[in-house]
Amino acid sequence: MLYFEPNFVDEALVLLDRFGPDARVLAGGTRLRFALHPGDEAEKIALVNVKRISDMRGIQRAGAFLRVGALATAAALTADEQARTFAPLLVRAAESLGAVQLRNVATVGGNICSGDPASDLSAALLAYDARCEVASSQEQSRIVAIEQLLSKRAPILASGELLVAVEIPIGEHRCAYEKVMTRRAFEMALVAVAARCRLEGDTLNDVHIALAGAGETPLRAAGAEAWLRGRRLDEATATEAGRVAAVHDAKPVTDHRAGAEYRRHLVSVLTQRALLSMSSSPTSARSNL
Amino acid sequence: MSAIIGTARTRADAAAKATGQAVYTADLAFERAASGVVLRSPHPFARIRAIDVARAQGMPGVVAVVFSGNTPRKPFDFSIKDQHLFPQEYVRYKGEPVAAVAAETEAQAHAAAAAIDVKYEALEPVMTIDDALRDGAQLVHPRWKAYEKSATRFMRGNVCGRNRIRRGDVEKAFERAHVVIDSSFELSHGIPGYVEPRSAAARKEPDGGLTVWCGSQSPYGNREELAEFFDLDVERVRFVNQFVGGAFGGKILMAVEWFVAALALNCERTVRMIWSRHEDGLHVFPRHGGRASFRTGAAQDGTLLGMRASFAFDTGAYLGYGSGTALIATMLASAPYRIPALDLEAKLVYTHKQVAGPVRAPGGPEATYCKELHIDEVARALSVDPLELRLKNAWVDGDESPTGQKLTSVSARETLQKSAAAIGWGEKLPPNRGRGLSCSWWFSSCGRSEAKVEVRSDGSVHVVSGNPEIGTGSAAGALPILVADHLGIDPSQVRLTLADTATRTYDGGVHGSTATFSAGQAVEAAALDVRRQLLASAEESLEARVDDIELSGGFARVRGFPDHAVAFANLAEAAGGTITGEGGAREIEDPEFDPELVQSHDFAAWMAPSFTTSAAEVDVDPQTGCVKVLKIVTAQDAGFAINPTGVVGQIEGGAVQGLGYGLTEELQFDESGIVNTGLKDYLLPTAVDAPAIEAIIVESPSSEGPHGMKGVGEPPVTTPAGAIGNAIRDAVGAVPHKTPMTPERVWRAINAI
Amino acid sequence: MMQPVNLMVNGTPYELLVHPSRSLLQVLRDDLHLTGTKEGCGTGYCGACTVLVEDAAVNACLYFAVDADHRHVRTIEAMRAPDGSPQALPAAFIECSGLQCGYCTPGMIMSAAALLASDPSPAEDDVRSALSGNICRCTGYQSIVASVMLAAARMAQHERQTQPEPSPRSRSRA
Repeated sequence: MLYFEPNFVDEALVLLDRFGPDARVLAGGTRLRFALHPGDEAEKIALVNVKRISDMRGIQRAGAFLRVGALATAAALTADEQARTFAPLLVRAAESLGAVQLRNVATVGGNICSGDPASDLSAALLAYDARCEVASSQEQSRIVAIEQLLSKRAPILASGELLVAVEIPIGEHRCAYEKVMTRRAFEMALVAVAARCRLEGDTLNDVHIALAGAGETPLRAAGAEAWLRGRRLDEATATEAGRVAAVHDAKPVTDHRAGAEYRRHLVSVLTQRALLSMSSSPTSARSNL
Repeated sequence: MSAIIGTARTRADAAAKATGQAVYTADLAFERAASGVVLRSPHPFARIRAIDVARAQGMPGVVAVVFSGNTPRKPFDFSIKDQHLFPQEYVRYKGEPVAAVAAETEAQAHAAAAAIDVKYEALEPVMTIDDALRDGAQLVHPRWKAYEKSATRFMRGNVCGRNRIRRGDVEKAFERAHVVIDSSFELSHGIPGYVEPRSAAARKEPDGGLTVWCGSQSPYGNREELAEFFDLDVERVRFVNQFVGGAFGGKILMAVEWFVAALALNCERTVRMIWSRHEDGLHVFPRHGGRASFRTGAAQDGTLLGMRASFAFDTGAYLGYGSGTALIATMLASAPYRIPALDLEAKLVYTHKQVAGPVRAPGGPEATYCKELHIDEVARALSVDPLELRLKNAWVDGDESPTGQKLTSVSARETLQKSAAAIGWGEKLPPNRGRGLSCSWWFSSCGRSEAKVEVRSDGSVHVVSGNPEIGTGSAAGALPILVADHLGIDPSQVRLTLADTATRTYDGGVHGSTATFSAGQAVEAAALDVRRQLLASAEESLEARVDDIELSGGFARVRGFPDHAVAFANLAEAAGGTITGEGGAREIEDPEFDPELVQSHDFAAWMAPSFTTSAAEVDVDPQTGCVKVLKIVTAQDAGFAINPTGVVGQIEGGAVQGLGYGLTEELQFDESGIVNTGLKDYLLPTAVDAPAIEAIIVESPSSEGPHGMKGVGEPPVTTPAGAIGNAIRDAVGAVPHKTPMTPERVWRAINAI
Repeated sequence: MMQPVNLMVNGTPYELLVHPSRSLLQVLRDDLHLTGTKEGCGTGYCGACTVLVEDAAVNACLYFAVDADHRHVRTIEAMRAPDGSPQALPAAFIECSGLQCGYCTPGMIMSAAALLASDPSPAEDDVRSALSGNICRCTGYQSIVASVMLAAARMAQHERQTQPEPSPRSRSRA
């Protein structure tokens, strides 16, 4: 097994290019460890630790965006003043991820690249319409909409590509994060709903709703968003939006953690709750009651 | 009156454990130990056509390969000899060991294991009770008729056990009843959930013996079984128990010990194996899953008239601990209620799953959950308050158990009343909040146990006991208290040597709520023996009468003349270096019962029975089905609490294990085997799931136990799930009849889908 | 290919050669013989292996040893005073019987240490949240939460007593 600590994105790309499918990017490393059991297969692996790459670190304002380096951990997000101010939904999702030990190492980039349909951070970033900066040895760095990246299952990046940062558009908004688990903590969502909007009076604008655990990938509830546009936010609207999200947007599957029917029901309840909590408070988060 | 027994004390091993100095089996350092790995079946059911180990034996670093071809072929297990160390003809669950390899490094051992060529003919497995009981079902054990079994064991095809208790005429009782209520339940498999996966090491000794380092609940019992199997002189087999990182019944039966022993006997090296969580999970002895149905008839005033209950337990590929679980389930099904007509049955069914084992209170949470939900259903049908119905029917002194045992020291009502009062029974609650009760009984048991107490020439006091400390505090908490009291020293000054068979102090191990009951008796007897010797020796050196001498602070002193004293050290010196007291647990006869009432019961009367009630308060989100347990109160009859801190610890821990059983824990199987061997998806409760817990110790002394104690380890895990279930129904009018009561199942129950 | 790794563990520097696939837990236990840190699940779902890396609680089983190069690691072995006596947290666990089998205890104490370093007077709910990544099967958590609360109170009291006259020596040690 080979090990590298490149200092720059370009150096990392050369390594990813050189080792192709045998290259593994090490960020938080929480998922990677399982893939590296000793044996011949593992010996071919080139581990590329990207921690020294300053472009991939940090959380700062960049014009109309909050730029979050792919290496930002969930814990760093929850502690960061700018993130709390400009991306409160992402912070709420980060707070509900795993437990302390996981939050201290799990990164934004790792969460996205895992392609996990129940990823807390992916749902929040989807609701932000975040843009992702993807570098590649083959071409210029490109900016990709998070929705496009997350529209396929893992591996979501092509061989030789590196997720450098995500950019979250800054703007006044309300947000809510609703999550249900079997246990009351330290578990991935059965279903989570990340929502944000602007309220003008009680009229909804710029509504974004993302669903975790409601399909084979994290999803945008486009149908519910479209239906909500320009409507007054009240109980009836929220209920109907929940129904639309559950019926038209969710594509839940049955697995050993929950049945599709229950997941669909949770999409409806949690979407309704997320909308209603935005009407009463600018930012909120709830897990299991 | 004792100054120490019954008072709260710090346990002897606390400092070592809190500072990382306690040594568990995986922490041991060995010179040049070889690493062992087990090769496991990828199929739930297959015929083994051939095994070829030749290539593996020649692989780099390999020191031993063991499989069915070079290990004893005799069958073993409890009352049916249905299991082999390595399967002879069929593999019967995914993960069943077929061979083991020891090599210089773990990687080499894995590589060699992968090079063992096993030719399987995959067969269609039987994965559920329904499939196993279907007409013409595939037999899990095609040759079951040829198996050696105990005389009382019922066996027919995939049914490998049946226990039954019958008294009175239940049909007549149902005819007379004002209401007859039916309920049926499904029960999940669960894991013991110890945080330390199993590991062990073994080494052949020059005298032909074998040393095994492990963390067992039953080192002496395991030693005998191992010696017999490998045809070794049991006196030359030594089990050296280390600190045990939790056990909960999962470390009674040997697992990893078998394989390090087999490998060590086939090479000249110490062989060690440290199982990963995944491997530990593949070799788990789970709590029995299964199903149950109940029918009870009651008079209008709430008097219970008759009950029929039937359990079917999935015991997996081999009988394992099925006999105990089934027997206990029948003993619990109607208890602790006075019901004149009973027909209580439990069946054991083979499937192609892991072998079910004796997880803390086997049969206890299972039967109590079903029975207590069912009792609430009877109360609701009669519009009688569930507490009132329980109090009305609960046993009192002089009542008979289902098997005809005359009961004394019955505290069912007291535990019901105390837990109900503490949970605020009857007080108004906001919407979607509810309270529930659950009451049960359990046994103590007394096994053979020996102990020595030594006073050495430096004045130190040592306890040598065969009893392993598995975390409960039965040894590290209770034993020093029992010794210190009689020798007039502080418990912190007592040093413990536990569970090393080289000390030749036999102990039957920690199971069946027996540890303090048996080992405590033995140690106390040894302490009294030492006390007598100390006093006799002091009598001479102090020239005083025994009655005038007291022991305190490491001295024998003349009462009223504290300076007229002689140190333990001097007394030991005078005795030639060490004063040794010996003691054993006395044999206690099992209580009488009526053999006409039972079928296939290995034990049908319960020694020093105890009573326990849990009360729970929950908050339910009716839209999502999420349940938050706000509080659990458990009132438990300890008979007498020798070590109250330890009893409270058992109650608190039991409450949260019971909560896990009720709400989150489920070992899941797909069409070939376990889905969730790890802790990612097997959901043990966290600190956030755990509610406030109030432990109430009730003391209704037994005539059998030391100081009137009753066994306390198992009862508190039996009652919480039923209390939570009843509280959920109280909150939202419905409750799943299936464990665990996950949010999805609660939502389904509320919406009747 | 072995990698040179410089680790500072409990104040002691180590220069090691480490295979890049190895976890911090393996290096601590197998190479440095610091066996106080336990492996419970190897997948980050029990917390028995919790150690502090630069004062943050992490699962040592998931942490690549090479990633700990030039970082400070603190383990349960650091929770004793120079005279061998337990520091405030383990002392409180001993006093409150916040342990039974003891296997989760080192990780539990390290998580609690991280919490108290950032929040010296947590509410009970904060303690429960901070410990939610540490599974205990024995105690039901109540005595553990009580232990952490007691340690917090003791440490705060100690702080109050020592604050008026901070001696230069104790300061430089801290």
